Amino acid sequence: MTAVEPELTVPGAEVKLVAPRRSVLGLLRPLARWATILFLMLLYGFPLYWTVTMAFKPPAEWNPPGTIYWWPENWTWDNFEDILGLKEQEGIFATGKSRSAIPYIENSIIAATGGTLLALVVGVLAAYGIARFRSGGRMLPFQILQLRMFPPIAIIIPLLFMFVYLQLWDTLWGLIILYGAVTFPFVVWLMRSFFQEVPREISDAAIVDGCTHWGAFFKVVLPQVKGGLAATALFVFILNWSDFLIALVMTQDNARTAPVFLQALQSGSAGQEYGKQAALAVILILPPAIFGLAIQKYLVRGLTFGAIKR
Amino acid sequence: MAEIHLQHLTKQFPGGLIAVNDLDLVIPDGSFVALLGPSGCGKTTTMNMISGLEKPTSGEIYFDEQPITRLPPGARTVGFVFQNYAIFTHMSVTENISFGLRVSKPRPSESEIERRVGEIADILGLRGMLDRNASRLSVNDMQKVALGRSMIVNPAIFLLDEPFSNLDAAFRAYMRAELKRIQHEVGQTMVYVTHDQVEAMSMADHIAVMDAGRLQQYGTPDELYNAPANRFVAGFVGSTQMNFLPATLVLGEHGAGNGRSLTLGIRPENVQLAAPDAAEATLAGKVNLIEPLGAKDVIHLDVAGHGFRVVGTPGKRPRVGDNVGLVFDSARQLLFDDETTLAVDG
Repeated sequence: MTAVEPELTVPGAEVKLVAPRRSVLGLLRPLARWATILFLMLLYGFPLYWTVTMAFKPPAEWNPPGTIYWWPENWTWDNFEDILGLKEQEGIFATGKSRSAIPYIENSIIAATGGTLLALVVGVLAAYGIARFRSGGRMLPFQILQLRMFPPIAIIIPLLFMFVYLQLWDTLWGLIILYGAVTFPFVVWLMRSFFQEVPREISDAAIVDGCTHWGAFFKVVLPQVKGGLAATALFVFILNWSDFLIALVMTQDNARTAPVFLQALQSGSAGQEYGKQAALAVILILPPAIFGLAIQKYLVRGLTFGAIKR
Repeated sequence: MAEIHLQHLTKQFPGGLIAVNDLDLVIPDGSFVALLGPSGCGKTTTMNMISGLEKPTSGEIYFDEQPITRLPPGARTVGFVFQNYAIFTHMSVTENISFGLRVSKPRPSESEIERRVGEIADILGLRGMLDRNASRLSVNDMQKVALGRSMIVNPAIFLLDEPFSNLDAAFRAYMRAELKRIQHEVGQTMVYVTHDQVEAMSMADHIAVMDAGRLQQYGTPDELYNAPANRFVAGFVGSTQMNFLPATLVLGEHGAGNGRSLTLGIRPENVQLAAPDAAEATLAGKVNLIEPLGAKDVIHLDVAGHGFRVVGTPGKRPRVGDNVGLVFDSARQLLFDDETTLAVDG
């Protein structure tokens, strides 16, 4: 098959203009490209769409046999009110207000933020030591990363016994320590490469001007890597925020986090409470999203570019 | 304002490399001294030890008779300008320049800091860009800011580690002249590291030539040029490299050392071209290549298999392939012992 060749006659002149031939493949290629993009967008976007719309559906539209509600027919805030403990419970076992997820969200915020801060403080200092003074030798950075080369589940049982013995089990401190320890290797690995981009002369200059090593680090080196620091903090926070496994095993009720609570949202009479789970999921998306937006301008790399000519 | 005295200074790095080997050097108060040598000769390590960024393995450093080897860098009040203009890009020009004052104890008042920054800005011509972000500056201005930052604490000693080698040629020449002027005005002791012998010759009162961690010669530019202590200095100093030819001592003055193996050195500017059969010609050679440089030519010759350079006048330019005779200015030829590489008298 060939493309149509239009003939065009200009009045007064016998000029025949022929449109350039375009092969079938040439026409199909952009089409295929856009089709692929659209397909991938739907594939990745649909779960998010389903979760957000689910959060606004009444129980009758959650999962009725034989029907799919692609769009909430009867919009409702019930799921949110329920999950935030604002709704009077109904039914024979009702004991007053619905069970609120707020304490668990609080636990999540404290544990994820605390763990992130711990990993950052220890990891950033370790990374600077490794990058600037080659502390620990050539193999240390790799050895630290190796800590993450097995799944945490492999050590969770001995950790459980250890934490029970140390009375850290089901405490927020215990979670903070674990989250810090688990994400620390990522901080070291990421920050080391950011520190390596800062020329040594920058800290040397500050030291000659009268700073101590600590002073040079805080006044001059750290501001140069703030973009990298922000990106690392966000990455680590998301890891800690979305943890399910560690919190499932290491907490009971005191320090239970929101993801574990979310999974447990089911009742004997109604089965999985999809609407409430979706509402909680929507709430849980917010903190990392807000954090990400807040530090967006620091996420742009290249702050130290042009500072030095190599 | 301060004399620097390096005494038996040695630096050995953990890998075993001896960067600086038993260096003895006195840099007089208020003088401009260049540390000259090829890369890896230990000149930057020497600077880092003077500033305190590196600790010597052994030896002592004195500023005005005061041992300072164990003082931290900040307590030595030296100014340091790095090759890679270490500018704090997250600060403004003012913040960069005033950095040294802000971290000093006791910290001067804001009005005093402002006055000092203004002074420095006037000297360096940075008045108009004080509020600008340092990351937006041109390479040339960055190095000016780095210079200003090291000047603000009024250091008695200025250390400059190839400060202008990243600048473009015209600005480099301008900054060299500026630096000389500033040094004249404030009278600090300046130590200047460079691998560029033209830079060293044109700026320094004294030059310390280093190679492989050892001091080769310490003297005025004229001394280095006219009376190099050894073959290395002779070859390193001088814009067209000195010619070296193998020689043998035919008659020792007291009969001793006869047949000693030597190297004859003569600068390209101390050789005249003549007709190949001229009576006064010491040697003959064949022209390989001519580099016309305008005011002079550099003529590359082949003399019995050895490369040889002569500075010629453009008016009497031979042709490539010509055979020519060479007339040596015998008063200016030098002899070096092949075993010790040291210069030999007579």
